[in-house]
Amino acid sequence: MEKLELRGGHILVDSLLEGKLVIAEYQGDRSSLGEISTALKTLGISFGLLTENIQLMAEGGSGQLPVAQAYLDLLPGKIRFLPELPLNKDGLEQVLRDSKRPQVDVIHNVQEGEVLADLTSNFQAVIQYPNGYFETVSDLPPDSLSYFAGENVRYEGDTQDLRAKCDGYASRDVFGIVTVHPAGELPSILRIHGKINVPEALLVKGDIGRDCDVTCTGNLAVRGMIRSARVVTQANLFSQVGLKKSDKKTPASATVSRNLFTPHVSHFMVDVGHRMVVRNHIDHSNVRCNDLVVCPTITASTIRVGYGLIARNLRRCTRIFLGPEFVKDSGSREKESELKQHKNRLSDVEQGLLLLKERIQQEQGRLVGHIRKMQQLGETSIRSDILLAGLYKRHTASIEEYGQITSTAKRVYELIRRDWFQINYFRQNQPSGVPEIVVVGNLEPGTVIKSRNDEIKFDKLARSLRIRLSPEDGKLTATPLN
Amino acid sequence: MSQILILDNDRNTVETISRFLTAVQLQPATHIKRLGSLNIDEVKKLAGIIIDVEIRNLAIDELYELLSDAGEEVQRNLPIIYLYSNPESEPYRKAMEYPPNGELQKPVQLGELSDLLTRFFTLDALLDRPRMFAEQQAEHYQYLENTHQLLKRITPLVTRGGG
Repeated sequence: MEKLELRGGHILVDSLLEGKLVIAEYQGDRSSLGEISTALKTLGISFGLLTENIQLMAEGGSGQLPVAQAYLDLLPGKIRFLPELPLNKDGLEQVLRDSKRPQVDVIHNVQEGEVLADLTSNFQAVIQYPNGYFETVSDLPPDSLSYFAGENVRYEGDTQDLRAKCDGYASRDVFGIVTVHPAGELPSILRIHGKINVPEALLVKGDIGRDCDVTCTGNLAVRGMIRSARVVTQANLFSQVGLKKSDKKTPASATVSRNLFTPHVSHFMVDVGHRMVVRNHIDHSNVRCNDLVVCPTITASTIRVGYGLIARNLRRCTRIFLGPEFVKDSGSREKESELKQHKNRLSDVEQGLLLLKERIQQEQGRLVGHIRKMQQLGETSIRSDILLAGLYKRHTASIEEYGQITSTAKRVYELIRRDWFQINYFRQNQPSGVPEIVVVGNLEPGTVIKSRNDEIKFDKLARSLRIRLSPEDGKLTATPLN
Repeated sequence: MSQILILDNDRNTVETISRFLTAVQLQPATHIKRLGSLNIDEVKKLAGIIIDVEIRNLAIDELYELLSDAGEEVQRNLPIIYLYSNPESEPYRKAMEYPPNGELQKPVQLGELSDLLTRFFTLDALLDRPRMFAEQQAEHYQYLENTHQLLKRITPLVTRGGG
């Protein structure tokens, strides 16, 4: 049994059934759900938490209660999204180091039939223990990869991969769904074009001008500059010249669900769902990026980043907020609530089937009983019996109904599996590890680094530092870079 | 899901045991408040009984009469677990005239309850929803197949010109 001191008391934790069930007892004044959950996580209990019981415990529920249990989980295999390979962390660091500045493509121009994603390890059913350990129950067939085929993407059974159904730009969302959008082309976008909202990828050969409003589902590639405009893409954004607010009065913002790649960001509000690579500088901008920001020079800007920042110089009172608390949820809650709805629906359908089964059994009993009775009167009497015909008709209809509801259950079950895999893909691919900032050059006086529980203010020039955030206590530690 | 009857007037104990049973996929039955209201059909549906033998006016012999009425199989397979606070108490000694399958002193420790129940149930077959769905699917299709088979045999008898 392990004991952990909390602010208002202490918690005693024990595991039963070979670690598959964790029980706990809270002794002390009231405590919060968050405090008890954090305490359990400190003890390494992170999976299968029984929130309702923990809540009861926090409210002063006396005695021992189960707080976490093992469960059967469906894990997606390792899926490689081939167009995104050069965008891994090492590749991004190369962008900074290499003076030749290698081309990193985030637009992923693909052709019909091209392989977009493949599996490097199998889908699995596992028993997930509360302490993080898992036990493989079985490997699942590779065709589960088809759950990740989005619009214009097909699963190829022979080669077990995902392929483009048409030419276009490929992208992958946070749940791993791979889509290809045919690219629409525009010479440039000006205010006169009005609000643009297209369900496809977009290639703009010139600029996106002042006061424009552009939304697209696929990748957005702009060969020119994005000026004081509002751009939204559910995939990647590439701007060859940069993002620059051109007039003080007009708001300038970019909301990018996946990655952003551009040479400059100036006086802009930027919200990026995954990674952001700026090849020259960010200045006077407000940036929020869920995973990683890579940029040589950041000047007079506020950066909120979940897991990392790699920069050469931080200049003129730049403020960095480091940690997942400072970035937004990427839609996983919505997906989880969708999964819950599907599960509730399946449970209703199953209940319906159970009732129908009872009815079918009663009908069968009556039908067989009646036939036996009639058999004594001869075959002709059976065929001409009206009551029997009625029973038979009702019974046939019930069986047909049972078949229809079974098909519905199967469909809902498939939706549950799909959501289940996608949510687990999301969880597996969440940025992890210790959030850190790496500055290879100067941190000018006035630079501030902030975490949920700590702050470092630089009053004088500092050089070459690695600043790490401790996930446990939210404290920042700065060490010189080798 | 296996239903375990919990008969106790102490809400905390009922809550603790119920939550444990739910976590290990057993179903706590708490709607029956008195032995007198228990009937044979309900007893037949149960997979176990946890009973506080120190409840006031409890006639434990009534329970065993009911079990005997429910048949030998029920008597043999239904585990009975006694809860008690004081091993010197008269009700406890009286109840022990009918030896139970297990006993627990209050306040109930879940570790002890778990050890006891493991003797009768495979508790570590825990939450298994996705597999249950898949198995349920298979069961539905099997049931459908069986009903179709039966229908196939009946149809020639019922339909005109058949057979």
